[in-house]
Amino acid sequence: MDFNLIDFINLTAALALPWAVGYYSLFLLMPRNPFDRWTHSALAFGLGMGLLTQWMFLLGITHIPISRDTVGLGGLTALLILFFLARKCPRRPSSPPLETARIDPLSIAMTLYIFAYIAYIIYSSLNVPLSVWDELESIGLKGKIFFTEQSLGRLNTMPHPTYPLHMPLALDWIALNLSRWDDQLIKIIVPITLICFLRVQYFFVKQFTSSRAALASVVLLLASPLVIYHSTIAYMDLTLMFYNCAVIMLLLLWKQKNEPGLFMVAGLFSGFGTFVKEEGIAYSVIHVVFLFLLTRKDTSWHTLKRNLTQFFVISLGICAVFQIFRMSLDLAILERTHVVLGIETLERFAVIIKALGRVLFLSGNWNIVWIVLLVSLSNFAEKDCRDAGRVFQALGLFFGLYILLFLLTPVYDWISVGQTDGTLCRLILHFFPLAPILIVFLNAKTHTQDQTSAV
Amino acid sequence: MTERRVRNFFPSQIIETLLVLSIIVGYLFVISILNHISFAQCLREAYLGLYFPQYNLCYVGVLGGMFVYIHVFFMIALGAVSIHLWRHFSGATMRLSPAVYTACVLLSLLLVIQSGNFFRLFLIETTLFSEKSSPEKKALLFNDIYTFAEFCRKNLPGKHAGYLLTDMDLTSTAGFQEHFTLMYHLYPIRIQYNPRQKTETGVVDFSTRKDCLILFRKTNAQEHVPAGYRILAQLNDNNLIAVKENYGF
Repeated sequence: MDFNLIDFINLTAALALPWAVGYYSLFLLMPRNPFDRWTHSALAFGLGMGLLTQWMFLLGITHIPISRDTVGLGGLTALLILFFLARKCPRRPSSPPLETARIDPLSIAMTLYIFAYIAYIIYSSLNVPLSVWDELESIGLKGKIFFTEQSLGRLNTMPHPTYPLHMPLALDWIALNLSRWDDQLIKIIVPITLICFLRVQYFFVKQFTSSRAALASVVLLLASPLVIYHSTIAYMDLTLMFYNCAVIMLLLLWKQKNEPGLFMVAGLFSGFGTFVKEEGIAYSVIHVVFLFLLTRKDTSWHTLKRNLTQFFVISLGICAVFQIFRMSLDLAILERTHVVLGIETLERFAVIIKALGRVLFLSGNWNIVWIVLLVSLSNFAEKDCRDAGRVFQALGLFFGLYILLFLLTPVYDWISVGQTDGTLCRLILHFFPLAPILIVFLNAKTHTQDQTSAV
Repeated sequence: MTERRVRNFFPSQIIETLLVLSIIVGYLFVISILNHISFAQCLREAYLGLYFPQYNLCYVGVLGGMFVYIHVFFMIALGAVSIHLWRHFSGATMRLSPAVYTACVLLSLLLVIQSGNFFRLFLIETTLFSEKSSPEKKALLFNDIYTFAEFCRKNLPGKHAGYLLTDMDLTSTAGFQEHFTLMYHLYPIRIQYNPRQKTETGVVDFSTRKDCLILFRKTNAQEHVPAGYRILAQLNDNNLIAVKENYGF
């Protein structure tokens, strides 16, 4: 690897700025911070990268050069302001407690497994240059052009000009800091995104169950070779997985802890998802529906309406900026999503279910995680699974979305021929972490069950 | 007293795990008999059927005419019944249901195999890429596409726009992908294919503002350099770069 001390310093600076902006933004968004330091940092990276690419995009559409100076200056100014504002915040994230008392051989084995895979992912992603098709065609080339031109000017002559720009701009930011387009080092953001996600998932599951169950959920996630593969390449899917699943987790935590900041961060993440991949727009609608289902029973209609409006405004506000820009490019958008209604839509159903079954249960992409989930579902009948029910609801919404999309639109042609199951796998990856979480919730003892049994 | 000792020595988890493992072995043994293959061959097929992908889709292999994961379902069913019976007669209790416990044992086994596969992949990556510079790695991955792109960028540094003349079928998936790979590595020399650059007769209109011509995988490339262009550098018979004569290079 062509890697020297200067590169290391530049890479650290490239990652530290968005992280620090995210770190202090979280203080402001969540005065009653429920996270420990590690989880706070993990979420800060996602928040910071989302804010950074939005900032780069704003520079681009206002025809200000997207250079290290302009981006960095904006970032540093924001950081200074946030730093001084955050000083007044009452509560800092706590250090995670050392759980020496409950360390058992299984937990040690699981921790070793997780660290071994993280080491492999970091090695593999930084060792192999951009070489996979989408990396080069729709992400790498755009990033390289942004890096050279320092503007979005040539966007409408590039392949897939209407695709969201988070990944190309994130790669561009790393390259700007390195002062060169390095096909290997720019991929650093991908394994870091995964590591941050693992931490967020661990914390989330631990809030509802035990640390051992939380570790098991992380192991189940890393059991999927597709997750590992996508952590070593610069595709958009893993980043969308991060934002999409983080929203679901944050909303569930918000429901549990009633901390309004979590709701705001979830809204922001939902919006950032729309800037990662087109599917993010559909997911943001799912997030709103999920929020509705989550709160409809125990809040007044007025509060429910207010919550939904707030979430919608934050999430779709971020989405709207890029959509308006996209329309200004005067290019065809979403040309395959017009609705087709008729008797043939019913005939499609069997084909869709067959394709989903094939991809979920007969592909090596997920190991046997979906099979374990299927087996675990029998527990629904046996015990109080309120938390699992909510995750199941979210999972059902995502599957429902795709079944509906395939039923009613020409996107069906993709799966009817069976040759694009790879694409289907990538779509499932966006919400795959909900499967390990659901398995753990269905099988481990959750705090809700403890409370119920205590009553 | 004796009973308690036995229970402590053989906790239920160990017995259940051994039960599941013996069911897996027994199941594979039956499969080998039914398919008239040796047990070793059956194990080998099961192992090879469990290859794990390094791309977006990989279907598991087939064992005895069925996908390996279909056998997993059968193993889980058998394991669940056995553990259920064991728990019923021994009075042992565990948090995980018999089916989930069997699935977890199978998953652990698969994780061991998967980790072995990833370790093998790690060794391959290390052998392929260790002590190689980034350009060497790219040359290894993209062959002549990268070598030629590097050659062009060395001979024609800076931002340029040019035409691509090639014998590759740009309408085929492979040709399309190779074209984009070349585009990526050539940048900041832009050669984006644009159907509008062709006239009604299908001939490329060279009169626009583009300043160079990339001839890649074009048989006898030299013969295809049009009037008004001169060869700037030639890598071999089929690959060269030409520029406009009056451009001032």
